[in-house]
Amino acid sequence: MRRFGRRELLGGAALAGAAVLGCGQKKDPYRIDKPAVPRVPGWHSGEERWVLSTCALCDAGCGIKVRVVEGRAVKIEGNPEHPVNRGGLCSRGQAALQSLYHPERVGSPLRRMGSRGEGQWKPISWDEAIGEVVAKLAKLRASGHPERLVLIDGESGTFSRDLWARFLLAFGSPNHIGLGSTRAAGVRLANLYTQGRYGLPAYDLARGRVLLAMGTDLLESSGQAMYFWRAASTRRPRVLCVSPRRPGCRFDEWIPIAPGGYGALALSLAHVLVRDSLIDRDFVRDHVFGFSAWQDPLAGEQRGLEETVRVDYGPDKTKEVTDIPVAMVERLAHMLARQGSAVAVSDGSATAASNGLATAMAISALNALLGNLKRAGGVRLPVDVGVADWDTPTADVVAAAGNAAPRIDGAGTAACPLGRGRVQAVPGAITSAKPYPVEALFLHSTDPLAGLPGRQAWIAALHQVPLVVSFSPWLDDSARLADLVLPDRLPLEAWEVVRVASGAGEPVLGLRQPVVAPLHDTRQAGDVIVALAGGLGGSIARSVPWKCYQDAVTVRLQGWLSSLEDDDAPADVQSLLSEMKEAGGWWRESADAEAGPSELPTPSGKFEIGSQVIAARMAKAPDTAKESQGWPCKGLPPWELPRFSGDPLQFPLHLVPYRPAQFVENGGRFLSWLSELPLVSGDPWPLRAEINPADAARFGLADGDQVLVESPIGSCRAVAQLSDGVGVGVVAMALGKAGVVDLVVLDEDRWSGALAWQGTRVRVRKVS
Amino acid sequence: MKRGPLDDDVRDSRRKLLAGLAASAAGALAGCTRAMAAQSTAPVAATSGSRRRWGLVIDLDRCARCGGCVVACQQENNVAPAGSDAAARMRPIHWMDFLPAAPGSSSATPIPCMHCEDPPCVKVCPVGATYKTEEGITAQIWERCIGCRYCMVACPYARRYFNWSEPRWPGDVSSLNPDVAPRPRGVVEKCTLCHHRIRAALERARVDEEPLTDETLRRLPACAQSCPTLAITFGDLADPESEVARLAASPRAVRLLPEAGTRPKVIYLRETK
Repeated sequence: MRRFGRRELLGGAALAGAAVLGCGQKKDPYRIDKPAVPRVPGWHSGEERWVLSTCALCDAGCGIKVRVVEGRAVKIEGNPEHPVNRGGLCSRGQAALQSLYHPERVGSPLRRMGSRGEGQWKPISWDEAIGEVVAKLAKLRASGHPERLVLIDGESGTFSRDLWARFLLAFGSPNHIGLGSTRAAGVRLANLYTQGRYGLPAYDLARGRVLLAMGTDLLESSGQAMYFWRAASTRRPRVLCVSPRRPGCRFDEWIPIAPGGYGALALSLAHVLVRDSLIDRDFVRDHVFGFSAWQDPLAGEQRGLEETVRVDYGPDKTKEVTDIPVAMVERLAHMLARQGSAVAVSDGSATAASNGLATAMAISALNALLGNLKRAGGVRLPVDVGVADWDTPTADVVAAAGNAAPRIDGAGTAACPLGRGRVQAVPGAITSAKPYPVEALFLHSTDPLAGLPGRQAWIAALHQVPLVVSFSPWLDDSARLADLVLPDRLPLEAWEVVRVASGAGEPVLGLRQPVVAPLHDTRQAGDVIVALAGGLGGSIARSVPWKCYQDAVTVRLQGWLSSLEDDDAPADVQSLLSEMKEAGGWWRESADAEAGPSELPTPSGKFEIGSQVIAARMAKAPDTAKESQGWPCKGLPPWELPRFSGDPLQFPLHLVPYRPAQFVENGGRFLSWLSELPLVSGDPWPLRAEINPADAARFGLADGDQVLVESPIGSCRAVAQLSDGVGVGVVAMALGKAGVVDLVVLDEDRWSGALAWQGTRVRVRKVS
Repeated sequence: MKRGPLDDDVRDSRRKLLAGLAASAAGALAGCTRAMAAQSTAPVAATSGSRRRWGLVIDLDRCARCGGCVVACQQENNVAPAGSDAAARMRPIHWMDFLPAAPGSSSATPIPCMHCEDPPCVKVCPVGATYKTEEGITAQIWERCIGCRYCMVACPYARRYFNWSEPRWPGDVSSLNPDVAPRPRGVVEKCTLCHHRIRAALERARVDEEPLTDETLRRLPACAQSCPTLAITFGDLADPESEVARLAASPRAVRLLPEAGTRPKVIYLRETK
């Protein structure tokens, strides 16, 4: 008999807390009597339509169209007109349908009964729920400590996120903490420091000849994968993939590398490019800053990249770190230089290490040396549609004081001098009550317990906060420890506008519209924000004056429309909205896609291999300056050897956690279509530890053995899978299934705050 | 549920079958022999009434291995998820499946029913539940199937699936496609090449009094429609002007297990080096 247990539905991590829900679950709710398709008595309208929207399963923002039959969504396909995916759609986007009709969705606001984590819930009304939150928030404001409200927000690019930011500004909390540091923080920051714009770069991949992909995530599971594969369907650049694990996606050549060695490889490639005079001399002279020595007004004499790579990064020296032979480095460098348009790209897996930012900057520098900026087949600046925010909100005295408090995660302090946030520091800050205690914690679009390392620390932290509110549509691991669950609508039921960071470099504004009527008594987070602001009154209500979230969206689009200097722009916001509903969004050809190298928004106006912003910041910050004594160039974070937790004798293998093609940041493990995707051989459900046959022989393992993978802080069971697709000394495990994150030792890049996913040693032994 | 020894046997045999197929496919797809190349370019001759020979071409050089086609197929054809118990016994149903990467080969291979010109499964069916349509699709009448599973044994590609249990969907069944009937327990099911979509397209063309063009056909089945890299192309192999016929004549074209003599109408294009 086919059963769906909690393991299938909620990914298994929550089994410990999976007591019976108080909201009346039937014992076997999935049994269906024939006929399987629900039959509505009477006449059928047979009404069928396609509704356009924007996918929300990753941050790619692909356009989708949903087939709706008699009010039921039955199929999701790609929107053929959309500039990101042009009709294609990956497994994740299609599986959104399963999340919509998921049996474990929370049907109404829930209040915790009994002790935390006991699993006793009482359904309450929205008025009650919002009243409770408002009362708590009002108390925080009355006590003069609005900064004690912390929001962890898993969204990126949505108007909801911007509305949260606005609400917190008016309320007085600086603690709007995103998940940037756990994703491709290094890449985003490298763009900020080298090219002056924060965000993922765009690549003209389809016209490139060679793509040097550092790390596998970019082409396998990242938000840019869909754009790349669609764009490359007619002509694909030669994909050279550098990674400790063979990519699951299509590639032309796999160059195995030791974990954490990417930066050293990039710098040794730069060494060969410089040594053999392969760099684009004109471009480097006119458009690159920091190639030769420079004088910084604050930090003094700085060594240029040229000297750094010449002295320290010969391929013979880096071989020890990367395990890549000298001849291979030379071949790669010559291949990159010979092909007119070769780009080097990095992603969240290559830069998620203790040397993340330096690695990302080194890889980025390769494109500058090759002159691959803003030309056909090259790199483009991160793009944004440029939708202005609403007018500046009013912050009263209490809010101003709260906003001036330091951020709880240490962003902008010596703890994270070059980064924008480090969500992984939140549990420690909560338990130690430093810099101040946290009184209320909101979790929006995120499940840190299941998705981030440090599970025990998160549990302890959640137990310590007096009010934890989760906006999750499911009772996920974190929501189970909340006091209130205010279920969000799913993307197929809600209004949303998304600023899409298109890999194509075209500004795209994606629209989500309700495809079906809401299935449960849920509210979109945006509407909850509006209600909270209204309940709190005063300057907060004046800052969020709209009746509902849709009004807020309309007002913002109105402001944007009036600022548009475009003859083709719609006459008014209503016609813009109806155009967006028809098309699934708004986009146009990028203005500067082909403009050639021009001024960049950096201090020098050039591509800064050595960043003046970093140099100035390092010179000013006394704490970090001491540590940075040894830096030859303060504008370039020193590329350090990767740091690994665990004694190499006890834990002889490197753990390489990766995001497989079906990886969804928040909730993918709930969807059986994705869990059963047959991309691995054999049974797709159990967690697999992919290990090289040489290592398996060393530890006496056979294919299919039950093994225990142990790291210094945790262990999990897995099935051994012998594979020549992982290097010797490496255990590759897919993220997304319960267990892997618990192995990862919490560590980070001390400059950028990027979470070091690739920094744990493990051992593997057979168990019965 | 406890797993019996028989289950293990079944699981092992299916796993071995798939592994063998994967190895053979890897051989065929990597180094194609002269004989195979010769066979692969041989045109498909119409053998019965209809002019049309529906077929698929899967370009492995383009395929990104994203798995989109698998989910598209399950969604379109109301294929129920297996759950972990059934999956552990190698019982999940994937009309569009992925062959595991054979050792040493680069990556997995999407594999639907081969819709053979000479389908061994049809010959063994004792009740005529499976048959070849006039247009060359290997079809199955669910209501007629008695679940003897001879066809599963006969199929050299392991592209047929038995419903070991009542189909169930977690939660609401609202998302089921009203155009496709779910299959009950005890019958064998398989890829239909999205037969219902083909019928609908033919019907639309008839109503609109416009000829059915190759252009509208290319992305007709759900797998082909979803493919981000346009690696899957559908069309009429008997029409020399069609995209599939053109691709099938490529020097990269190979068929799986040509030695089985089944003459598959799903044609792979090998990866370029």
